[in-house]
Amino acid sequence: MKVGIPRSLFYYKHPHLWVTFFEELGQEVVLSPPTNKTLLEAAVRFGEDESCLAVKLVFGHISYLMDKCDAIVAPAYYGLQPGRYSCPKFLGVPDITKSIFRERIEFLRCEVDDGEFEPGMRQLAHTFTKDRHTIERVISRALDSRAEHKHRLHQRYRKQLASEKRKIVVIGHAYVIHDAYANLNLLAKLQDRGMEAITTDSVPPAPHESFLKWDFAYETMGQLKEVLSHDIAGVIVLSNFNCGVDAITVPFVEHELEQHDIPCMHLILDEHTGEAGMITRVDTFVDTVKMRERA
Amino acid sequence: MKERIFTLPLCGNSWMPFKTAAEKLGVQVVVPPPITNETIALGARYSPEGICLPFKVIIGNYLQALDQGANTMMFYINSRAGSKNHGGGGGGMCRLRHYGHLQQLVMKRAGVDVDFLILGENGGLIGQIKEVTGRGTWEIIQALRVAIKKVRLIEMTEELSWRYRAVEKHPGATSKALNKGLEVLQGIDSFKELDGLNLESFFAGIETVEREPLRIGVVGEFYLLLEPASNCHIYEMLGELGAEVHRHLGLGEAILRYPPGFVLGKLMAWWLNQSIPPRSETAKIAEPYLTCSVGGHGRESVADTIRFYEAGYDGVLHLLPMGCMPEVTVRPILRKISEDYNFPVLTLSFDEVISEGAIRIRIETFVDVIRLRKERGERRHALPGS
Repeated sequence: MKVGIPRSLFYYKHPHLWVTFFEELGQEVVLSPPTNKTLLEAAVRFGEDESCLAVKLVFGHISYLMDKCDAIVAPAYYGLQPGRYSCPKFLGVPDITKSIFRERIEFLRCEVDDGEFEPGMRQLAHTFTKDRHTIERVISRALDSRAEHKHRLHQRYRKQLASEKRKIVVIGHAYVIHDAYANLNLLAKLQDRGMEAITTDSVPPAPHESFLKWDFAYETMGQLKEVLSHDIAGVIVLSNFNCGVDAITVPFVEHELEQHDIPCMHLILDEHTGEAGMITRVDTFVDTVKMRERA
Repeated sequence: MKERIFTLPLCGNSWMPFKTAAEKLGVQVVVPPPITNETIALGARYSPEGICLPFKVIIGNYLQALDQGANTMMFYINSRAGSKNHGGGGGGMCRLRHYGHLQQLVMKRAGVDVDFLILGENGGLIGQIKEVTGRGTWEIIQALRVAIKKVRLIEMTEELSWRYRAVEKHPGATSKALNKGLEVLQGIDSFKELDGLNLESFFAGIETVEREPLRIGVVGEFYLLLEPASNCHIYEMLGELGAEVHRHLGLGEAILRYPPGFVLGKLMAWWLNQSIPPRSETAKIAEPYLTCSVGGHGRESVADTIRFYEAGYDGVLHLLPMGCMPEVTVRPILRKISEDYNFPVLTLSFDEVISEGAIRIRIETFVDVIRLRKERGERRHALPGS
C-alpha cells in the first residue's frame, strides 16, 4: 500500500513518527514536497477562505497526494497532553476533505487522546498486520524516533543558548515556523542578520500552571517561562491570520514579555507572498534589539 | 467591603431571566445598555485583534456597564461541555472556554479595576452562587427554577413572533407585540404564574394576510443566533420579507443539551416539561458528513442543516463570527450538503465592521432565490441512501 503523508500540520509536530510507523509496517510512504508555489495555489483554491493558512495548506498537500497514493494519513489529535485538547480544525481534516474533493480517498486515522499514542496506533497497525510482536515493535520504533527527534531538538537548544550571538526566540506552531516557503523564510532571514533564532519547539517547557486548555498554548507558556530564565534579546511571535488559538495565547505572551521588558514583534501570515514587508519588519526589529543593548 | 454590583454580557434576552433570579436572591445587577455600533467599536478597541466578534461585544458591554456603576463582571462557562465525549457546547475546544481569563487580562491592560465572577468554570455552580449570595440551596433552586422557565418562555415568545412577522399585515406590528409580551414576562416572578401564561395572547391583536410564508432554518454560532444586534437583526429582516425563521439552538435547548450538572439537568428538564434531547442523535445525523466533534456547535450546525432539509424547509442560513473555529471548519461541509441535496444554504460571517446594507442585499437576494425555486417547484434531491 502507498501511504501518503501531507507535509503540513501534524507532520511538523512529529516529523519522524508517522514516517517510521508506516515504513516499519512495510508500507511505501509518499511524502508531499515542502510547500511550493503550486501547492500554495492549490491550498488557496481548495481551502476554506476563513481558515488559517496552515489548514488551507493541508488541503493543498492532500490535493498533491490524491493520485499518488492509496490512503492518506490524518491522525486525529484530540489532545497531545493529559486533560488538554488540540485545535478543532485538525480534527475536521478527513471529513472536510470528503466534502471538498470529488475523488474518494481513504484516510488512515489514529486517535490520540490525552497524549496517549499507543492505543490508536495499535488499532491502526492491526489493520495492516495481525502479528502482535510486529505491532509492538513498530509502535516502539515509531515512538523512539519521536523521542530521538525531541532529544536532538533539545540538544540544539542548549547549543544555541551557549552561542555568543544575540538570541531571538521565535514562538509559533511548528507547522508555521518550519514551513519555510509559507513563512517567507523567516528563520534564515534572522540568521542572515547575525541572530541566533531559537524556535519554541526545541525548548523543553518549564513546569508551570496554566488555565490554557489547548495543548499547544499550554506548552508555549511553559516554553516561554523556560526561555525567560535565560538571556534573550527579543521574541518574534509568528502566527497565521485567523488562528483561533493564537488569538487567545498571544495577548498572554505579550503581557508576560511586557513584564520582563523584552521586545516582542507579532507577525501575522497569510497566503500573501510579497517579501518586502517582511524584510522591513525583520530589519526594524533587529535594529531595535541592537539599539536597546547600546542604550 | 464595598458592595458588589454585578453586570453580565448581553446575549439576546438572556439578561431577563438572569435579572429575575438575581433579584430573587438579593443581588444587585446592572444590565448593560443595548448594544449599538458604539458598544462594538468600544469593545473592539480594547480586545485583541484576532479574537471573535462575541468577545469584542462583551468587552463593550462590560465597559458601558462600568459607567453605570457595575463593579463585578459576571460570566458563565460550561466547563463540562466540549470535551471529546461530551460533544458540543461552548466550554470546550472553542475559544469561549478561555473568554473569562482573556477578559480579565484585557480589563487589566485597559487599566480598569474590576472583579470577575466566572460561574461554572470548575463545576459546582450552586456552590458558587451560595458563596456570592449567602442564600441556602433551596432558595437558589427556587430562583433557578423561575429563571429557567423564563428562558424557555422567552424563547417560545420569540419563536411565535417569527411566525407572526412573516404574515403580518402592518409592518412592525409583531415587533411591537413582542416587546409588550416580553415586558409582561419580565414583570412576573412566580413559577406558577409563568406556567399558566398563554403566550399566543401576546400576538392576538395582529392582523395577518393570507400567504404561505417561506420557511428558513438558522444554524451556526450560538451568540450570533441569539443576539440580534450582532447579526444586523436578521430575523426581523427575514420576517419582513415574508420568511418564517426557525432555529433549533436556542438558549433553553443549549442549557438542556449541555446542563451544568447531571442533577441540575434532570431538574431543568422537569421544570420545562421537556425531555433532554439525546446528544447521540445529533452525532448520528451528522455522521455521514462529520464523524467527530469539532468544538462549539459545529456538529449541531451540520445536523441541524440536515434536520431542516428533512423537515421540508426552503433554505438554511448559517451565521458565524468571522474566523469562528468550529463553524469555519464545518463550512465546506454545509456547502457539500447544499450541493448534494440541492438545498440553498447561505453563509454569513460577521465581524465588528458591520454594514447592514450589505447584509440586507444578500438576505433579499437569498429570499428571492428560494422564492423563485419554490414557485418553479425546483426538485430537491433525495437523501443519500434512501
